[in-house]
Amino acid sequence: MKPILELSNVSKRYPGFSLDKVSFSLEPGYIMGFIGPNGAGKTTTIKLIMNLIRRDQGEIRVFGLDSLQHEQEIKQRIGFVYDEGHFYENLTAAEMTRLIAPIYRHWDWDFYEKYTRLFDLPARKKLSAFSRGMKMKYALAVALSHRAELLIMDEPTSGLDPVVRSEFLDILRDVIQDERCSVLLSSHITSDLDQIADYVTLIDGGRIVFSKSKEELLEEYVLIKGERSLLDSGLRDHIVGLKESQFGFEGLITAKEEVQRLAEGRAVFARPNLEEIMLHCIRGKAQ
Amino acid sequence: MISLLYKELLVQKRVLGMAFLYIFVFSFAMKNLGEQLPLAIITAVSYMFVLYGGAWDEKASSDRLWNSLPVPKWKIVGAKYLSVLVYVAGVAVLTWAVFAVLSMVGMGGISTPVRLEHAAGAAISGRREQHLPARLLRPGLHEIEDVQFADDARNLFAPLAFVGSFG
Amino acid sequence: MVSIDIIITNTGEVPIYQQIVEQIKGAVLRGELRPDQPLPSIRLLAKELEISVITTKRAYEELEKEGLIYTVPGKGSFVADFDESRLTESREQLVAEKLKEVLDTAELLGLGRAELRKIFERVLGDEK
Repeated sequence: MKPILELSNVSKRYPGFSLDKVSFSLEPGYIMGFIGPNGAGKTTTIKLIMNLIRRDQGEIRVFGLDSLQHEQEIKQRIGFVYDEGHFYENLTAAEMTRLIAPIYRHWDWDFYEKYTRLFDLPARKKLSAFSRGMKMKYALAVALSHRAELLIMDEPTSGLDPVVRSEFLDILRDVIQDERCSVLLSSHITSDLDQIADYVTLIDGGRIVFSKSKEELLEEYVLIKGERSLLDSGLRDHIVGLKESQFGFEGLITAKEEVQRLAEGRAVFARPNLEEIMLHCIRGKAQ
Repeated sequence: MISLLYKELLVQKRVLGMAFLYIFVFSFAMKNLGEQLPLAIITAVSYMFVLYGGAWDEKASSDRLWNSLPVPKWKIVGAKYLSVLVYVAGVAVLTWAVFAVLSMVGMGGISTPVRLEHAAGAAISGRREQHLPARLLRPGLHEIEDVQFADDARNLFAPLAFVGSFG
Repeated sequence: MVSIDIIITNTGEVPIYQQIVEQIKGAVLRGELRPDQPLPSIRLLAKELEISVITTKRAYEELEKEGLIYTVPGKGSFVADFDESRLTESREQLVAEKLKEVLDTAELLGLGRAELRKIFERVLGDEK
């Protein structure tokens, strides 16, 4: 099946930072978590997809169409949620929506009503009086009200409490049920993505470290913790992103059986979560 | 396009009230300008609207919104320029209305603001001046940079624009 | 729609898809799931368990490979029909596999057969 989003060798140069040959793709009907430390290039990549900044090189295809040539067509089918408010705060939700609705060809007021009711968003209150969580829900309501096939979200849950974040994930899970919608979600709250992501793309320093299904990732990497003395038995070379402390070491390994043999029962193995994978992979790159 | 212009109205609702006040006050305070009075008032007040509007856009980082919505860039750019004309026209109407009321009460006469000149009410907006030389040579409606340029141009040349609308 | 309970844990070594496979397998072998009964769609399962749909897809693929379920495109997955004699055999197989895992763990931790037997007896005693 044709990917719904495809980046090929996308590059963008800034004086202090550059995005270097970024490539990944997302199959329709899935949620991709886009992770990486702050400043790694997540927001830049999203801005490039939305054509808020111009790419220097490479290709971006959304729904199979080039993002520059078919910009309007593509944007009609994209819903977006960014982390910082980009709405006019001195307007009410109703007024703001009245500005946005006519722009979308497939705007559906029923959906909008449904979501504003579900999220409990007051229509006549100024957006400046909305809490952070409510602002995100408003953006989400708008994004979901025009039959979007791709949702692009840049750190939508940063700064939100766990309750709101959990509600957000529930909503996403619902949205994804009919397979019509796909989601690209950038976040540094990896615990959210642990739950909801199907695919994970890690970016660091403007480069893609990996882009694969979460299932594959968890299959590939195992967390190992053990006594420092173990490191000398040839184990050190097998470990990705080694972290040593006064009381032991921790890292990721890929060749589980072999390492288990070497470890001789003096190490503990566990399934890593995304945060641990991310930390050790990034650390591993730096070593 | 309608949304882009409508937003100016929605966002600046409050300023409308202030505008009336300004026009009223200026009509007295600047009476000595005589023939130039309407010109001066319209320049000042519409300029105020333009700057205020720009400030709201800046505060909301609304460019990120409009550029993410399916709105062709030429519409975004065009609306920024067009809004100046709309403001000038609107303020002119307001000023005329205020003058009409005042004259009924027995104040100064309405003189249709004549020709050109006096566009130089503009303050220089210092930021992003470097865009100007480049863009002046290659003005356009479609690129990302044009959106930013339009903001600066609007602030700088707003008073000039109203001249055309009265010509 | 059938109602089965599937409990997964995030901690521990067993991959989530494996846990799902085992629990559905267990339900089938215990007779709680009858042949031709529909199973929840992979997306619904993913949503309810709060895991990725790729994981549930993998679990179902595994179950299909083992002949425990079959999938009709466009309709979903259903419990497969197989003869009862396999039931006993498979049940013993399941337990044997579990015991083997225990053996492996014990070996890793350096526990010998004798100690293992002692622990086993103790656990059996506790469970009475």
